[in-house]
Amino acid sequence: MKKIKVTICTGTACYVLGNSQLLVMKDDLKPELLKWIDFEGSNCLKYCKDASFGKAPFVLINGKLMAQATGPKVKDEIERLYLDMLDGGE
Amino acid sequence: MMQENRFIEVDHFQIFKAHQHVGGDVFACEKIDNDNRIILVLSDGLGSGIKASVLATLTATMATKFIVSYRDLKSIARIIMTTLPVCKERLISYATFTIVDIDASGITRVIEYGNPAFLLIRETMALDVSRKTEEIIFSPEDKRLVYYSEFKAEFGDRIVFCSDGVTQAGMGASATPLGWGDSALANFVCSAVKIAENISARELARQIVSKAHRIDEGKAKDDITCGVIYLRQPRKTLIVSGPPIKQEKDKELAHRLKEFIGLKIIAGGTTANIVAREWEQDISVDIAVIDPEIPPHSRMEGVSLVTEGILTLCKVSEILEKGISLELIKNNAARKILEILLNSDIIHFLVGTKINDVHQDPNMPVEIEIRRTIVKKIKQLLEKKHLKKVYLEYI
Ligand code: FES
Repeated sequence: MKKIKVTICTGTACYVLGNSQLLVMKDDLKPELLKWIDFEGSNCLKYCKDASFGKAPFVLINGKLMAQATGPKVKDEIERLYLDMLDGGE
Repeated sequence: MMQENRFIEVDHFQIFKAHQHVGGDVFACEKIDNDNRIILVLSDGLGSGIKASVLATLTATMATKFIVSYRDLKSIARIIMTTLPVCKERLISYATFTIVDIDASGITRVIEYGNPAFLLIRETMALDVSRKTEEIIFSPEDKRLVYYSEFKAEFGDRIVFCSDGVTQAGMGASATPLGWGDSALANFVCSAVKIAENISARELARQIVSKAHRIDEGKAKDDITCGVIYLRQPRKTLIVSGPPIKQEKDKELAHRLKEFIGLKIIAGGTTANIVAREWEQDISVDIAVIDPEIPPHSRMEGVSLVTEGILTLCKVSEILEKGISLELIKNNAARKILEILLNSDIIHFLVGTKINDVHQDPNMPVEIEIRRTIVKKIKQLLEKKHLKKVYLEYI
Protein backbone atom coordinates (compact mmCIF):
# COMPACT_ATOMS: atom_id res chain seq x y z
CA MET A 1 0.00 0.00 0.00
CA LYS A 2 1.10 3.55 -0.68
CA LYS A 3 1.18 5.99 2.22
CA ILE A 4 -1.33 8.81 2.52
CA LYS A 5 0.40 12.14 2.07
CA VAL A 6 -0.85 15.01 4.20
CA THR A 7 0.63 18.41 3.36
CA ILE A 8 -0.09 21.03 5.98
CA CYS A 9 0.44 24.62 4.92
CA THR A 10 2.51 26.47 7.53
CA GLY A 11 2.31 29.86 5.79
CA THR A 12 1.25 32.89 7.80
CA ALA A 13 -2.48 32.84 7.03
CA CYS A 14 -2.96 29.09 7.40
CA TYR A 15 -0.89 28.92 10.57
CA VAL A 16 -2.77 31.70 12.29
CA LEU A 17 -6.14 30.36 11.21
CA GLY A 18 -5.63 26.90 12.64
CA ASN A 19 -2.93 24.82 11.01
CA SER A 20 -0.66 25.23 14.03
CA GLN A 21 -3.12 22.88 15.77
CA LEU A 22 -3.15 20.38 12.91
CA LEU A 23 0.56 19.78 13.25
CA VAL A 24 0.10 18.44 16.74
CA MET A 25 -2.94 16.43 15.68
CA LYS A 26 -0.83 13.48 14.69
CA ASP A 27 -0.32 12.79 18.37
CA ASP A 28 -4.05 11.89 18.59
CA LEU A 29 -4.09 9.41 15.73
CA LYS A 30 -4.03 5.67 16.32
CA PRO A 31 -0.53 4.24 15.85
CA GLU A 32 -1.64 1.69 13.24
CA LEU A 33 -3.12 4.54 11.21
CA LEU A 34 -0.16 6.83 11.78
CA LYS A 35 2.13 4.27 10.14
CA TRP A 36 0.37 4.91 6.86
CA ILE A 37 0.55 8.66 6.86
CA ASP A 38 3.29 10.93 5.66
CA PHE A 39 2.94 14.35 7.26
CA GLU A 40 4.78 17.23 5.74
CA GLY A 41 4.79 20.98 6.14
CA SER A 42 4.84 23.47 3.32
CA ASN A 43 5.25 27.19 3.20
CA CYS A 44 2.43 29.23 1.66
CA LEU A 45 0.74 27.09 -0.99
CA LYS A 46 -0.66 30.29 -2.53
CA TYR A 47 -4.30 29.19 -2.27
CA CYS A 48 -4.82 31.97 0.25
CA LYS A 49 -4.22 34.56 -2.47
CA ASP A 50 -7.20 33.49 -4.52
CA ALA A 51 -10.68 33.48 -3.00
CA SER A 52 -11.93 30.90 -5.49
CA PHE A 53 -10.10 28.18 -3.56
CA GLY A 54 -12.10 28.94 -0.43
CA LYS A 55 -10.77 30.05 2.90
CA ALA A 56 -7.59 29.27 4.82
CA PRO A 57 -6.35 27.11 6.45
CA PHE A 58 -5.49 24.76 3.62
CA VAL A 59 -4.35 21.16 3.66
CA LEU A 60 -3.56 18.82 0.80
CA ILE A 61 -4.42 15.17 1.29
CA ASN A 62 -2.97 12.98 -1.42
CA GLY A 63 -2.87 16.10 -3.56
CA LYS A 64 -6.53 16.96 -3.01
CA LEU A 65 -7.20 20.41 -1.59
CA MET A 66 -9.15 20.90 1.60
CA ALA A 67 -10.11 24.48 2.52
CA GLN A 68 -11.06 25.56 6.04
CA ALA A 69 -9.37 22.46 7.31
CA THR A 70 -9.97 21.38 10.88
CA GLY A 71 -8.66 18.47 12.92
CA PRO A 72 -11.88 16.40 12.66
CA LYS A 73 -12.26 17.07 8.92
CA VAL A 74 -8.71 15.98 8.20
CA LYS A 75 -9.05 12.94 10.45
CA ASP A 76 -12.26 11.83 8.74
CA GLU A 77 -10.69 12.15 5.34
CA ILE A 78 -7.60 10.22 6.40
CA GLU A 79 -9.71 7.46 7.89
CA ARG A 80 -11.87 7.27 4.76
CA LEU A 81 -8.76 6.95 2.57
CA TYR A 82 -7.31 4.35 4.93
CA LEU A 83 -10.44 2.20 4.78
CA ASP A 84 -10.49 2.54 0.97
CA MET A 85 -6.88 1.40 0.94
CA LEU A 86 -7.65 -1.60 3.10
CA ASP A 87 -10.56 -2.52 0.80
CA GLY A 88 -8.42 -2.04 -2.29
CA GLY A 89 -5.66 -4.10 -0.72
CA GLU A 90 -7.83 -7.16 -0.20
CA MET B 1 33.05 50.10 15.36
CA MET B 2 34.36 49.23 11.93
CA GLN B 3 35.97 50.19 8.75
CA GLU B 4 35.12 48.19 5.67
CA ASN B 5 36.61 44.92 6.84
CA ARG B 6 37.67 45.58 10.32
CA PHE B 7 35.57 45.39 13.41
CA ILE B 8 36.44 46.22 16.97
CA GLU B 9 34.63 43.85 19.25
CA VAL B 10 34.44 44.89 22.86
CA ASP B 11 33.00 42.89 25.68
CA HIS B 12 33.51 42.09 29.30
CA PHE B 13 32.60 39.56 31.92
CA GLN B 14 32.25 39.95 35.63
CA ILE B 15 31.59 38.05 38.83
CA PHE B 16 30.91 40.02 41.99
CA LYS B 17 32.55 39.34 45.31
CA ALA B 18 30.69 36.54 47.05
CA HIS B 19 27.51 37.75 48.80
CA GLN B 20 27.64 41.21 47.20
CA HIS B 21 24.89 42.22 44.82
CA VAL B 22 26.48 45.44 43.71
CA GLY B 23 29.87 45.56 42.07
CA GLY B 24 32.73 47.78 43.05
CA ASP B 25 34.18 47.11 39.60
CA VAL B 26 32.55 49.10 36.84
CA PHE B 27 33.05 48.59 33.13
CA ALA B 28 31.93 51.40 30.85
CA CYS B 29 32.08 51.65 27.10
CA GLU B 30 31.23 54.59 24.89
CA LYS B 31 31.33 55.00 21.14
CA ILE B 32 32.07 58.49 19.89
CA ASP B 33 32.97 60.32 16.66
CA ASN B 34 30.31 58.59 14.66
CA ASP B 35 31.30 55.20 16.01
CA ASN B 36 34.88 55.72 14.90
CA ARG B 37 36.34 55.77 18.35
CA ILE B 38 35.65 53.71 21.46
CA ILE B 39 36.42 54.72 25.02
CA LEU B 40 36.52 51.95 27.59
CA VAL B 41 36.94 52.33 31.27
CA LEU B 42 37.41 49.70 33.90
CA SER B 43 37.31 51.20 37.33
CA ASP B 44 37.72 49.43 40.62
CA GLY B 45 36.36 51.26 43.64
CA LEU B 46 38.13 50.68 46.92
CA GLY B 47 36.34 48.02 48.94
CA SER B 48 33.16 46.57 47.58
CA GLY B 49 29.42 47.09 47.57
CA ILE B 50 27.48 50.30 47.00
CA LYS B 51 30.16 52.79 48.00
CA ALA B 52 32.79 51.21 45.81
CA SER B 53 30.27 51.02 43.01
CA VAL B 54 29.43 54.72 43.20
CA LEU B 55 33.11 55.69 43.17
CA ALA B 56 33.90 53.41 40.28
CA THR B 57 30.89 54.67 38.33
CA LEU B 58 31.94 58.24 39.00
CA THR B 59 35.45 57.47 37.75
CA ALA B 60 34.18 55.71 34.66
CA THR B 61 31.80 58.53 33.80
CA MET B 62 34.46 61.18 34.23
CA ALA B 63 36.98 59.24 32.23
CA THR B 64 34.68 58.76 29.25
CA LYS B 65 33.82 62.47 29.28
CA PHE B 66 37.31 63.91 29.82
CA ILE B 67 39.06 61.82 27.26
CA VAL B 68 36.88 63.38 24.62
CA SER B 69 37.84 66.92 25.54
CA TYR B 70 41.51 66.53 26.46
CA ARG B 71 44.25 65.29 24.20
CA ASP B 72 46.87 65.16 26.93
CA LEU B 73 46.66 61.96 28.90
CA LYS B 74 48.38 63.35 31.93
CA SER B 75 45.80 66.07 32.41
CA ILE B 76 43.02 63.53 32.15
CA ALA B 77 44.56 61.35 34.84
CA ARG B 78 45.22 64.36 37.02
CA ILE B 79 41.70 65.73 36.78
CA ILE B 80 40.14 62.40 37.64
CA MET B 81 42.45 61.85 40.56
CA THR B 82 41.93 65.31 41.96
CA THR B 83 38.20 64.91 41.79
CA LEU B 84 38.10 61.57 43.52
CA PRO B 85 38.26 61.48 47.29
CA VAL B 86 41.40 60.01 48.80
CA CYS B 87 41.49 57.51 51.62
CA LYS B 88 42.98 59.37 54.58
CA GLU B 89 44.86 56.46 56.17
CA ARG B 90 46.15 54.74 53.11
CA LEU B 91 46.63 57.82 50.94
CA ILE B 92 45.36 56.07 47.92
CA SER B 93 42.55 57.04 45.64
CA TYR B 94 39.22 55.51 46.28
CA ALA B 95 39.18 54.08 42.78
CA THR B 96 41.76 52.71 40.39
CA PHE B 97 41.21 52.70 36.65
CA THR B 98 42.24 51.60 33.20
CA ILE B 99 41.16 53.82 30.34
CA VAL B 100 41.49 52.61 26.77
CA ASP B 101 40.89 54.93 23.85
CA ILE B 102 40.97 53.15 20.50
CA ASP B 103 40.07 54.46 17.05
CA ALA B 104 38.97 52.75 13.87
CA SER B 105 42.52 52.51 12.54
CA GLY B 106 43.72 50.73 15.68
CA ILE B 107 45.57 53.69 17.23
CA THR B 108 45.28 53.01 20.93
CA ARG B 109 46.03 55.04 24.03
CA VAL B 110 45.90 53.53 27.47
CA ILE B 111 46.06 55.20 30.88
CA GLU B 112 46.47 52.94 33.86
CA TYR B 113 46.30 53.73 37.50
CA GLY B 114 46.39 51.00 40.09
CA ASN B 115 44.86 48.19 38.02
CA PRO B 116 46.85 45.19 36.74
CA ALA B 117 48.74 45.98 33.54
CA PHE B 118 46.80 45.33 30.35
CA LEU B 119 47.96 42.68 27.90
CA LEU B 120 48.39 43.15 24.17
CA ILE B 121 48.04 39.77 22.50
CA ARG B 122 49.22 39.38 18.91
CA GLU B 123 48.50 35.98 17.42
CA THR B 124 49.27 33.81 20.43
CA MET B 125 51.91 35.94 22.15
CA ALA B 126 51.74 38.66 24.75
CA LEU B 127 53.73 41.61 23.40
CA ASP B 128 55.88 43.88 25.50
CA VAL B 129 54.29 47.28 25.37
CA SER B 130 56.44 50.20 26.41
CA ARG B 131 54.83 52.17 29.18
CA LYS B 132 55.67 55.68 30.21
CA THR B 133 55.55 56.20 33.94
CA GLU B 134 54.47 59.56 35.28
CA GLU B 135 54.46 60.61 38.84
CA ILE B 136 51.61 62.88 39.66
CA ILE B 137 52.49 64.78 42.78
CA PHE B 138 49.61 65.94 44.88
CA SER B 139 51.61 66.68 47.98
CA PRO B 140 55.05 65.63 49.24
CA GLU B 141 53.54 62.50 50.80
CA ASP B 142 51.09 61.87 48.06
CA LYS B 143 52.73 60.92 44.79
CA ARG B 144 50.89 58.58 42.49
CA LEU B 145 52.16 56.56 39.59
CA VAL B 146 50.25 56.57 36.38
CA TYR B 147 51.23 54.58 33.28
CA TYR B 148 50.65 55.70 29.71
CA SER B 149 51.04 53.74 26.56
CA GLU B 150 50.34 54.47 22.96
CA PHE B 151 50.51 51.92 20.15
CA LYS B 152 48.84 50.77 16.98
CA ALA B 153 46.80 47.63 17.35
CA GLU B 154 46.91 45.40 14.29
CA PHE B 155 44.19 43.33 12.73
CA GLY B 156 43.73 40.19 14.85
CA ASP B 157 45.12 41.78 18.03
CA ARG B 158 43.44 41.49 21.40
CA ILE B 159 43.74 43.83 24.34
CA VAL B 160 42.94 42.27 27.69
CA PHE B 161 42.54 44.26 30.88
CA CYS B 162 41.20 43.32 34.26
CA SER B 163 40.67 44.27 37.86
CA ASP B 164 42.94 42.94 40.60
CA GLY B 165 40.20 40.45 41.46
CA VAL B 166 41.65 38.46 38.54
CA THR B 167 45.38 38.65 39.24
CA GLN B 168 45.00 38.36 43.00
CA ALA B 169 42.59 35.44 42.86
CA GLY B 170 43.59 32.70 45.27
CA MET B 171 45.83 35.01 47.30
CA GLY B 172 46.93 33.37 50.52
CA ALA B 173 46.23 29.85 49.29
CA SER B 174 49.21 27.52 49.39
CA ALA B 175 49.35 27.08 45.62
CA THR B 176 49.06 30.82 44.95
CA PRO B 177 50.32 32.69 48.02
CA LEU B 178 50.63 35.93 46.07
CA GLY B 179 47.56 35.35 43.94
CA TRP B 180 47.21 34.01 40.43
CA GLY B 181 49.56 36.69 39.14
CA ASP B 182 50.18 38.71 35.98
CA SER B 183 52.36 36.21 34.18
CA ALA B 184 50.10 33.25 34.91
CA LEU B 185 47.23 35.31 33.51
CA ALA B 186 49.26 36.09 30.37
CA ASN B 187 50.05 32.40 29.90
CA PHE B 188 46.42 31.49 30.35
CA VAL B 189 45.29 34.03 27.75
CA CYS B 190 47.92 32.90 25.25
CA SER B 191 46.89 29.29 25.53
CA ALA B 192 43.19 30.19 25.32
CA VAL B 193 43.75 31.92 21.97
CA LYS B 194 45.95 29.04 20.83
CA ILE B 195 43.12 26.61 21.50
CA ALA B 196 40.41 28.77 19.92
CA GLU B 197 41.93 31.08 17.36
CA ASN B 198 38.69 32.99 16.74
CA ILE B 199 37.52 33.14 20.33
CA SER B 200 35.19 36.11 20.77
CA ALA B 201 35.89 38.98 23.15
CA ARG B 202 33.08 37.91 25.41
CA GLU B 203 34.08 34.26 25.52
CA LEU B 204 37.71 35.08 26.28
CA ALA B 205 36.66 37.46 29.07
CA ARG B 206 34.34 34.78 30.40
CA GLN B 207 37.07 32.14 30.41
CA ILE B 208 39.50 34.42 32.23
CA VAL B 209 36.95 35.37 34.87
CA SER B 210 35.79 31.77 35.35
CA LYS B 211 39.38 30.63 35.76
CA ALA B 212 40.05 33.28 38.40
CA HIS B 213 36.81 32.32 40.11
CA ARG B 214 37.91 28.68 40.22
CA ILE B 215 41.25 29.70 41.71
CA ASP B 216 39.23 31.52 44.36
CA GLU B 217 37.55 28.16 44.92
CA GLY B 218 34.23 29.42 43.64
CA LYS B 219 33.95 32.15 46.27
CA ALA B 220 35.19 35.41 44.83
CA LYS B 221 37.19 37.35 47.41
CA ASP B 222 36.88 40.52 45.38
CA ASP B 223 34.95 41.56 42.27
CA ILE B 224 36.46 39.76 39.29
CA THR B 225 36.19 41.73 36.06
CA CYS B 226 37.83 41.36 32.69
CA GLY B 227 37.41 43.40 29.51
CA VAL B 228 38.59 42.29 26.08
CA ILE B 229 38.98 44.21 22.84
CA TYR B 230 39.35 42.14 19.67
CA LEU B 231 40.11 43.58 16.23
CA ARG B 232 38.68 41.20 13.74
CA GLN B 233 36.76 40.70 10.53
CA PRO B 234 33.12 41.67 11.05
CA ARG B 235 30.49 38.92 10.96
CA LYS B 236 27.81 39.87 8.46
CA THR B 237 24.26 38.71 7.95
CA LEU B 238 21.74 39.50 5.24
CA ILE B 239 18.10 39.03 6.05
CA VAL B 240 15.55 39.32 3.25
CA SER B 241 11.87 39.61 3.98
CA GLY B 242 8.92 40.31 1.75
CA PRO B 243 8.44 40.08 -2.01
CA PRO B 244 9.80 43.03 -4.02
CA ILE B 245 7.36 45.70 -5.01
CA LYS B 246 7.60 44.75 -8.69
CA GLN B 247 8.05 41.26 -9.99
CA GLU B 248 10.90 42.40 -12.24
CA LYS B 249 12.92 42.86 -9.08
CA ASP B 250 12.67 39.18 -8.06
CA LYS B 251 15.82 38.33 -9.97
CA GLU B 252 17.70 41.17 -8.30
CA LEU B 253 16.62 39.98 -4.87
CA ALA B 254 17.71 36.41 -5.58
CA HIS B 255 21.00 37.64 -7.00
CA ARG B 256 21.76 39.90 -4.05
CA LEU B 257 21.17 36.99 -1.71
CA LYS B 258 23.34 34.65 -3.76
CA GLU B 259 26.27 37.06 -3.92
CA PHE B 260 26.22 38.08 -0.29
CA ILE B 261 29.21 36.99 1.76
CA GLY B 262 28.06 36.04 5.23
CA LEU B 263 25.05 34.35 6.77
CA LYS B 264 21.73 34.51 4.94
CA ILE B 265 18.22 34.46 6.33
CA ILE B 266 14.93 34.49 4.45
CA ALA B 267 12.00 35.56 6.64
CA GLY B 268 8.85 35.08 4.59
CA GLY B 269 7.18 32.21 2.77
CA THR B 270 6.52 34.09 -0.46
CA THR B 271 10.06 35.46 -0.42
CA ALA B 272 11.40 31.95 0.06
CA ASN B 273 9.29 30.74 -2.87
CA ILE B 274 10.71 33.51 -5.07
CA VAL B 275 14.29 32.64 -4.17
CA ALA B 276 13.64 28.90 -4.56
CA ARG B 277 12.22 29.52 -8.02
CA GLU B 278 15.09 31.78 -9.12
CA TRP B 279 17.77 29.48 -7.70
CA GLU B 280 15.93 26.33 -8.74
CA GLN B 281 16.08 24.93 -5.23
CA ASP B 282 13.67 22.97 -3.06
CA ILE B 283 12.36 24.13 0.28
CA SER B 284 11.55 21.66 3.01
CA VAL B 285 9.68 22.60 6.16
CA ASP B 286 10.99 21.09 9.36
CA ILE B 287 8.00 19.94 11.40
CA ALA B 288 9.98 18.07 14.04
CA VAL B 289 9.39 20.75 16.67
CA ILE B 290 6.11 22.63 16.69
CA ASP B 291 5.40 25.88 18.48
CA PRO B 292 1.71 26.78 18.09
CA GLU B 293 2.63 30.48 18.02
CA ILE B 294 5.44 30.52 15.48
CA PRO B 295 5.45 28.57 12.19
CA PRO B 296 8.31 26.10 11.83
CA HIS B 297 11.49 26.99 9.96
CA SER B 298 12.50 25.45 6.62
CA ARG B 299 15.67 24.50 4.85
CA MET B 300 16.98 25.55 1.50
CA GLU B 301 20.45 24.94 0.18
CA GLY B 302 22.60 28.06 0.20
CA VAL B 303 20.62 29.80 2.95
CA SER B 304 21.37 29.58 6.66
CA LEU B 305 17.74 29.81 7.73
CA VAL B 306 14.28 30.12 6.18
CA THR B 307 11.35 31.20 8.33
CA GLU B 308 7.84 32.52 8.00
CA GLY B 309 7.72 36.32 7.88
CA ILE B 310 5.43 38.51 9.93
CA LEU B 311 4.59 36.34 12.93
CA THR B 312 8.21 35.36 13.37
CA LEU B 313 9.58 38.89 12.98
CA CYS B 314 6.98 40.20 15.44
CA LYS B 315 8.23 37.63 17.93
CA VAL B 316 11.84 38.61 17.27
CA SER B 317 10.99 42.22 17.98
CA GLU B 318 9.05 41.29 21.11
CA ILE B 319 11.93 39.24 22.53
CA LEU B 320 14.41 42.03 21.81
CA GLU B 321 12.15 44.61 23.36
CA LYS B 322 11.57 42.64 26.54
CA GLY B 323 15.24 41.76 26.68
CA ILE B 324 14.53 38.09 27.35
CA SER B 325 17.63 35.95 27.33
CA LEU B 326 17.69 33.42 24.51
CA GLU B 327 18.20 30.38 26.69
CA LEU B 328 14.76 30.99 28.17
CA ILE B 329 12.95 30.93 24.87
CA LYS B 330 11.37 27.96 23.08
CA ASN B 331 13.52 26.71 20.29
CA ASN B 332 11.37 28.21 17.55
CA ALA B 333 12.19 30.06 14.34
CA ALA B 334 12.26 33.46 16.10
CA ARG B 335 14.96 32.23 18.45
CA LYS B 336 16.90 30.82 15.51
CA ILE B 337 16.85 34.24 13.82
CA LEU B 338 17.99 35.94 17.02
CA GLU B 339 20.82 33.48 17.52
CA ILE B 340 22.20 34.52 14.16
CA LEU B 341 21.53 38.25 14.53
CA LEU B 342 23.00 38.58 17.99
CA ASN B 343 26.12 36.81 16.81
CA SER B 344 26.54 39.22 13.87
CA ASP B 345 28.21 42.61 13.83
CA ILE B 346 26.74 44.00 10.65
CA ILE B 347 23.19 43.20 9.65
CA HIS B 348 21.59 44.10 6.35
CA PHE B 349 17.84 44.02 6.00
CA LEU B 350 16.54 43.87 2.47
CA VAL B 351 12.81 44.37 2.72
CA GLY B 352 10.34 43.82 -0.08
CA THR B 353 7.53 46.33 -0.13
CA LYS B 354 4.81 44.51 -2.00
CA ILE B 355 1.71 44.34 0.12
CA ASN B 356 0.91 40.69 0.69
CA ASP B 357 -2.62 40.14 -0.59
CA VAL B 358 -3.12 37.47 2.02
CA HIS B 359 -2.92 39.94 4.84
CA GLN B 360 -5.74 42.02 3.49
CA ASP B 361 -8.02 39.61 5.27
CA PRO B 362 -9.90 41.73 7.83
CA ASN B 363 -9.63 38.91 10.36
CA MET B 364 -5.90 39.35 10.62
CA PRO B 365 -4.51 41.72 13.21
CA VAL B 366 -3.70 45.12 11.78
CA GLU B 367 -0.09 44.89 12.83
CA ILE B 368 0.44 42.10 10.41
CA GLU B 369 0.23 44.45 7.44
CA ILE B 370 3.16 46.44 8.57
CA ARG B 371 6.34 44.57 7.82
CA ARG B 372 8.23 47.79 7.52
CA THR B 373 7.28 48.96 10.97
CA ILE B 374 8.43 45.74 12.56
CA VAL B 375 11.71 45.68 10.74
CA LYS B 376 12.38 49.29 11.67
CA LYS B 377 11.72 48.44 15.27
CA ILE B 378 14.03 45.43 15.17
CA LYS B 379 16.69 47.65 13.62
CA GLN B 380 16.43 50.19 16.42
CA LEU B 381 16.50 47.55 19.12
CA LEU B 382 19.56 45.86 17.62
CA GLU B 383 21.34 49.20 17.40
CA LYS B 384 20.41 50.53 20.81
CA LYS B 385 20.48 47.44 22.96
CA HIS B 386 23.08 45.37 21.17
CA LEU B 387 25.25 47.99 19.44
CA LYS B 388 24.89 46.30 16.06
CA LYS B 389 25.46 48.13 12.82
CA VAL B 390 22.20 47.71 10.94
CA TYR B 391 21.37 48.75 7.39
CA LEU B 392 17.85 48.79 6.05
CA GLU B 393 17.03 48.87 2.39
CA TYR B 394 13.74 48.48 0.55
CA ILE B 395 13.28 46.67 -2.72
S1 FES C 1 -0.64 30.55 3.87
FE1 FES C 1 -1.46 28.66 3.39
S2 FES C 1 -1.95 28.90 1.35
FE2 FES C 1 -1.05 30.74 1.83
